[in-house]
Amino acid sequence: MRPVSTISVLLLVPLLQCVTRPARAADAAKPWRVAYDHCQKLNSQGDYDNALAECERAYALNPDPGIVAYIAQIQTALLHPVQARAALLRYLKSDQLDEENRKTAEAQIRYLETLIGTLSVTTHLAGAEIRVDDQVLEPSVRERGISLPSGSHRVTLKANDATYSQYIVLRAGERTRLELPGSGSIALRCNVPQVRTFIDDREVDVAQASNGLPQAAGSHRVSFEAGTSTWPTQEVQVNPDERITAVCAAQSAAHGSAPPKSNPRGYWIVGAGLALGGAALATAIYSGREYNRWQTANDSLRRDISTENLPFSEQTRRAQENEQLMDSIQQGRNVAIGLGIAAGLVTAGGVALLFADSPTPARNGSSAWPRKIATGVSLRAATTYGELTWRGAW
Amino acid sequence: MVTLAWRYVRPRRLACAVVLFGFSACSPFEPAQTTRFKLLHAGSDSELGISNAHWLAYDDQHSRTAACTNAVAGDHDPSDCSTWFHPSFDWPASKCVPDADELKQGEMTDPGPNGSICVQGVLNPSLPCRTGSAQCLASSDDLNPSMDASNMWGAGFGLAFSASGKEPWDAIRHRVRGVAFDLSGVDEALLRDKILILRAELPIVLTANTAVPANHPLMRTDGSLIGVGGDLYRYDCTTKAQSQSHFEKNPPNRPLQLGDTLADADADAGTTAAAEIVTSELHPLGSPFWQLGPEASWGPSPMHVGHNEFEWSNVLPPKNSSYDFDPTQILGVHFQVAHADPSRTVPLHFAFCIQNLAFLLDE
Repeated sequence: MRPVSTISVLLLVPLLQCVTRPARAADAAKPWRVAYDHCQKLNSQGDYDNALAECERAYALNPDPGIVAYIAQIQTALLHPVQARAALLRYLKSDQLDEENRKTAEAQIRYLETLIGTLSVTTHLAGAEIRVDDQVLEPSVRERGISLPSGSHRVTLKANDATYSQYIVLRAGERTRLELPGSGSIALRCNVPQVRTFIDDREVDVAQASNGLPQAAGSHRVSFEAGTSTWPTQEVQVNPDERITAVCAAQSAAHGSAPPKSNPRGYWIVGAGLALGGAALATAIYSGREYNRWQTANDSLRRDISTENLPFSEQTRRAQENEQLMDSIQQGRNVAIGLGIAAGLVTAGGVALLFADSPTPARNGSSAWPRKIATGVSLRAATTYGELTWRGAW
Repeated sequence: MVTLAWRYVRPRRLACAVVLFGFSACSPFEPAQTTRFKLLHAGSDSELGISNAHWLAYDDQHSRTAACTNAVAGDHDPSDCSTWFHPSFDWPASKCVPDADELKQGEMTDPGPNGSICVQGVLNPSLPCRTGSAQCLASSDDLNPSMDASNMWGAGFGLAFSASGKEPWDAIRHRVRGVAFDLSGVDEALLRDKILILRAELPIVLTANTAVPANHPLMRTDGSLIGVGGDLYRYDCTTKAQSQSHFEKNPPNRPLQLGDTLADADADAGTTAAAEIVTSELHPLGSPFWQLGPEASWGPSPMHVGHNEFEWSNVLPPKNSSYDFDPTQILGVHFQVAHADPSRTVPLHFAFCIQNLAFLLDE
């Protein structure tokens, strides 16, 4: 709370003298008198809010200028210069005042006006609600302006679910005009050649749209077209004095418009292809190991045959075993080759499906996912070190 | 962000690993070339052009000339000669030559595929010659100078390639390059120390005019014997009397030939001899056998327990014989047990098995 200025304390004394004037003994039991006495008592105790309430009640019961003068002093003590001035203006309207009190009141009004500024607010938004320090500002007084204590005040604009707030500092004795923004802007970005841009179904110039076009606060529809390709219409919410950027990439659609979903079958098929490739590799590795086993057995058999120490039955048995192993290895190789071919075909088919199923913007835009994947890959290599990195969002 | 990093991996090693993996996974197959062979068996084999093949066992007393007990040759007691226990002959050897039916007791059953043909027998110690030096070739061993080396030759058995045993079989035409067999049932040490002399023998057809050594008595098919001096010795099995006469040759001055072993040669003045088959079994030094070479010797065949193979180039005629081995004239494959040490005074009992007797085929 701000300290009561010396001047306000000094001015309070003569006014109190005039307030005591209506008090007579016959009035002691009257309700207004009771309330007025209670007001004075609370005021002397520093309980200005309750004192003000009691005085207002007493003035309502008995519109005596002395009571309203007392109210003016309480408002001054509460640092409500606007209300204090209003009370004094009511006081001056009384025809019961002598010249001295009138001059005193006028002097006090001049003093209070050094603590008051005037704020007028305008906006182009129809139906907008304007609040100053949480008090609704009626349209009728916006232009004329309202008196407010000098200092900082918060002005809030609400329209079409859009909210705009601003703090303003009023200087004492001055009139301040505030024009609240009624619009934001929408910027449309798309790198597809010969693209056409639309806001609320009206085509707008691409170059101007890329720099941002002023739009009334609220919801707007934006869309892109390039040849036969069209992008889904995006709903964007524009707040006053805010710039919204909408791009023609599905994933980059502005402000919460759901990204187009692609059919997942391509991913499944690519996964199956990779699994087949893994199986092919595993089979090839197994065949390689079996080949090493066969080679060892074959070399041993060749060596034993050359020494002529191997009975034919043993020769035949080992040769048959080796032949069976060889057949098994050859079958394994065929399986590996078949799996490899199948893996390649399935993977290629899956990739083709991914292209086919991907949303239209992805096909035409520079942000198509293959390019994203490709641009996300980086390779660093040295003689004894290498690093393959893919960076991207998922 | 997905990062795959590698450190301390040299590119050369990585490339090498990839190449090795690819090599092991894709390298070609070069299977060991197994030996081409054809198992031999009794009976007929149209592929080899053999018919009526049969197994036959014989020894120096149970054979066509029965040299060990022959009255004009060895004249030894049958108990002093070699013999088989398995197969066995149930007829007692005598001073006369046996007939064909008696010799047929030496026929053996074919063991069948993967079967073994097993034999048991005994070689009795060598004895000095009981007949004169014209009828018996004495050992040249300095320690045992008079041991009978021409009539106590041991025992044998084998697969004859024809019913008569005298029809030549052409190995070259049938693209056969040698013989293989598996030996078992005998102590390797007996072979290594040459206590048991085993030979793989291939009797062949020879020509009638094949020369024979002049210092060897020559047994004839009827059991008579042409002595070293040119006399013909006969034993009459009915009267049990020996006779001696001059062996007539035509022309008289020619040297003895292998055809002179044919008993009917003198009766028909050589005409029958020309029609009769003359084999190396009639040669006084015997048939060709598997030898280490390159020079012929009287040692054993270089066989060992287990698998054995030899090619025709390792089949040589007996030492000092005057003929060559001809693989187009083969009569069969035989295995013979020969005397090793003339000074041996105790009988040598032996046993062994032959399995998977086969021809080696050209590659």
